[in-house]
Amino acid sequence: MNGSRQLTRQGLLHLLRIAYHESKMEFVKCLRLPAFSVSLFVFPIGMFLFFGFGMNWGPNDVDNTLYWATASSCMGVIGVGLFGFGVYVATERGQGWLLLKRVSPMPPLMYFLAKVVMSILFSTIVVLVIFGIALFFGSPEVQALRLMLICVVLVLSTIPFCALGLAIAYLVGPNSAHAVVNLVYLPQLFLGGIVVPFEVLPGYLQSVATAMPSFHSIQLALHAVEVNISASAYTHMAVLTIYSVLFVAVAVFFYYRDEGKTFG
Amino acid sequence: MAFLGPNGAGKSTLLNLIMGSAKLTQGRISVLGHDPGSTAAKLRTGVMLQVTGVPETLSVSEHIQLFRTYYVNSMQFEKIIDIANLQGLEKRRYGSLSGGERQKLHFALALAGDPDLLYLDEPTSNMDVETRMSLWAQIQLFRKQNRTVVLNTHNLEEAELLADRIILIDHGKIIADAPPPSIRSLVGTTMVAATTSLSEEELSQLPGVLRTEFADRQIRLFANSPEETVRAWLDLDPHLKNLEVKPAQLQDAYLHLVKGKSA
Repeated sequence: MNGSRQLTRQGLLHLLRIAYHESKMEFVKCLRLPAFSVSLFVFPIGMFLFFGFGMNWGPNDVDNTLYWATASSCMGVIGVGLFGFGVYVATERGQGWLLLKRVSPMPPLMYFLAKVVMSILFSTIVVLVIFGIALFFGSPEVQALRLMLICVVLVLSTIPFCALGLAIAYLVGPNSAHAVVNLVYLPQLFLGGIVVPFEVLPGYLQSVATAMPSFHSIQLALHAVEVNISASAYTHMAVLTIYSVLFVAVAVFFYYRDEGKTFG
Repeated sequence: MAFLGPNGAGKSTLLNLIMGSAKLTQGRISVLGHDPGSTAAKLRTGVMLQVTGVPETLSVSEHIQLFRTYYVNSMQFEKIIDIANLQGLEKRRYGSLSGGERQKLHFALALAGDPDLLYLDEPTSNMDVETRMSLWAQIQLFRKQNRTVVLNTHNLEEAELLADRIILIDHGKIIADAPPPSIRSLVGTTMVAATTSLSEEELSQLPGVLRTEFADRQIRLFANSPEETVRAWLDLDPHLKNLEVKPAQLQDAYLHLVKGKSA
């Protein structure tokens, strides 16, 4: 009894060790790829600099800089999930490297876990840089605790988009994933009430927006900013959770379908 | 042990079955007493595949250290570097390695778990002669530690050098399963060539002749004991000219064997 408990504890420590090293290497690997890391940072930060100062295009009941910091962060987080995670997994899926990982004793879940951790770290950087600029150059009136809450909500909303990216990665072939992700990414930004704020959208597009995961993630973040626009925060959380589960289920189904198949 | 066969013989399929990457439709495979693809089997197996897409921004030592964490009883880092002959390259990133150095790293990753079974899939394809020799020496070094090395190859020389048992396969069937000398004698180790007035049928009746072949207006006979073949040939054909006796090109000979059996 004692022995088996000892064994489980050792097993758990072993798994944690793999998770730690795999995540660390994943992060280091991506950080050293400038084309990869810079492209994830440039667009959201650029959008924030463009709209965040001066252009008063955001909703009226919220500080303009704060609104655009939230919206741009949301854009960054979606990019990390779809491109940083989704396209990356799709590309690796087409290469023999993943096959070697699969025949090693590393549990396959660790591979995905490490990529989620890497994505969350990248999201954290994007969010912190944008809010750092907002605080340094702008003067949004916001309590420190609330600011932290906004950042946590934004960073955590990487997860549904990783799930969406994962579903696409396993649904379509490695060569088409990039194109499909582009098809999904732009509507998330334009129809989900991010680049074009929800209030500005015409009525018929507002109903489309509510179906977008991006709509729910920005609304949830705006809840943290204390702007109550639509349904309660719990509804947004529930919708995002349901989307995540659904996307992961699709990915898992197709993962097992192509077990042992490579495209290399 | 080596699985030897031409491209498309079924070597990679066999590897996938043994690694548990493909599922059996019938029969049973046991890897070191475990099911193929089970964690217990994976923990004691090292695999060297022809891989693409290896992360280029990680260094040699980062790659090796990461693979070491996958195993409960991993091989010491210094020992891996030593066996794989990667001294001095530890800090280099994968992207800056030459083809041969990359293969050495793939070999090092297969060693990471201090495996009892090492599975190498075409380990020296696309390698220059020098790197190939060096990797062969490293594989032999590992074999001396009483470990099992299984090799997929279409290179007979490689199989002969590294294996004490060669399994010749083609179109998914085992054609021969024997130690290297027996495989050699199956195909004939010596080639005797000459211009002659005898027919191919008469020649194939000569003592010791395993097979015959026409090339460049010469006839070539393959045999294991050329002395008796030559003696009989000269007796039968006094006008025989341009006699040559050479070691057979084993590669061609074995390809002939594979073709002959599967036809």
